[in-house]
Amino acid sequence: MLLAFLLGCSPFEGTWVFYFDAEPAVSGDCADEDDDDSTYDTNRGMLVDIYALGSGGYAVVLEEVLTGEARFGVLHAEWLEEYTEGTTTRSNYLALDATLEAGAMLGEVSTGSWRESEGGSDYTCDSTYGFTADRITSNRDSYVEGE
Amino acid sequence: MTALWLLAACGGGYDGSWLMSFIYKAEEGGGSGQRDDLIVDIYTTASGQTVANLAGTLMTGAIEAGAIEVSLVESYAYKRGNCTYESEQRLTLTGEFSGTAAVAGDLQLEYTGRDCDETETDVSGYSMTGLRLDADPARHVGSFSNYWFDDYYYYEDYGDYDDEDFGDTG
Repeated sequence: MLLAFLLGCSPFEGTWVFYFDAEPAVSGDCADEDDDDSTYDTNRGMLVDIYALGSGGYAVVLEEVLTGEARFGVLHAEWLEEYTEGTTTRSNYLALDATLEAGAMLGEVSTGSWRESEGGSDYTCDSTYGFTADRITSNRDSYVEGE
Repeated sequence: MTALWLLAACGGGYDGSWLMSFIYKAEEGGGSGQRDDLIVDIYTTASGQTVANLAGTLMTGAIEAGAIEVSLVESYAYKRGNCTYESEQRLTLTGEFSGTAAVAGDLQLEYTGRDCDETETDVSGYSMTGLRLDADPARHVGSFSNYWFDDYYYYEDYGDYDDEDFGDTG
């Protein structure tokens, strides 16, 4: 609570470097599609901007623009698209859940898709990536000379 | 005085946008002299790390005593039958700052791959000079071209092995 006070009313706001787990947790119909013995590891980061909205919510720029809000210290934001062709509806979503811990952000990003036809759901695929994030603290005043 | 305090507090004396010129170094049997100019953003994070945003490719490390070293490492291993393919790519930017407005150094890309008993290594590099821009680095956030790293090899070259390529699969 004290940390939230020190950081202001929108503690998630800012630019962050996200480091995702290399191996996602995959479920649904695609869970066995990549069932091999490969391993992958990296320190590759990704810049993510989080904006506080006038409504009290947040916008998270994570490839798509996710919107949501923070409740009891947990930020939840999501993006969803659906399109229908004939009797088939396809959906894609992206969701983020995150908390702050000692100045860092921890959480997971879930991405998935599903397809529904007249007979109900006929395909789902969900992947969840854990992440840690480090806040960018650079600001213009810290490096522009003569200002 | 305020500026000095901010520099000390944020540890970001070299933070900002830099116009960096990369000139390809000669390698055996290859050409040299190709030049690429890029805007590279340097940030400091809350944990004290230095992040360089090289046209969308983020490299992490530190600046100490006026010297920068940031890197991006990816490793991949794939087992098939009795054989294992392993690879590691390492992109490293090193440089020495002159004051807070100029930098010079190198960008090196190292590749090591092992396929069964055969090992392949490759090193290529660029010399680098940079000048700081009076610009807000935030404007460059979001350019995820990954120009430097993703155009390199390994998935394309090694992703389509047949069983016979790996000998006795048991």
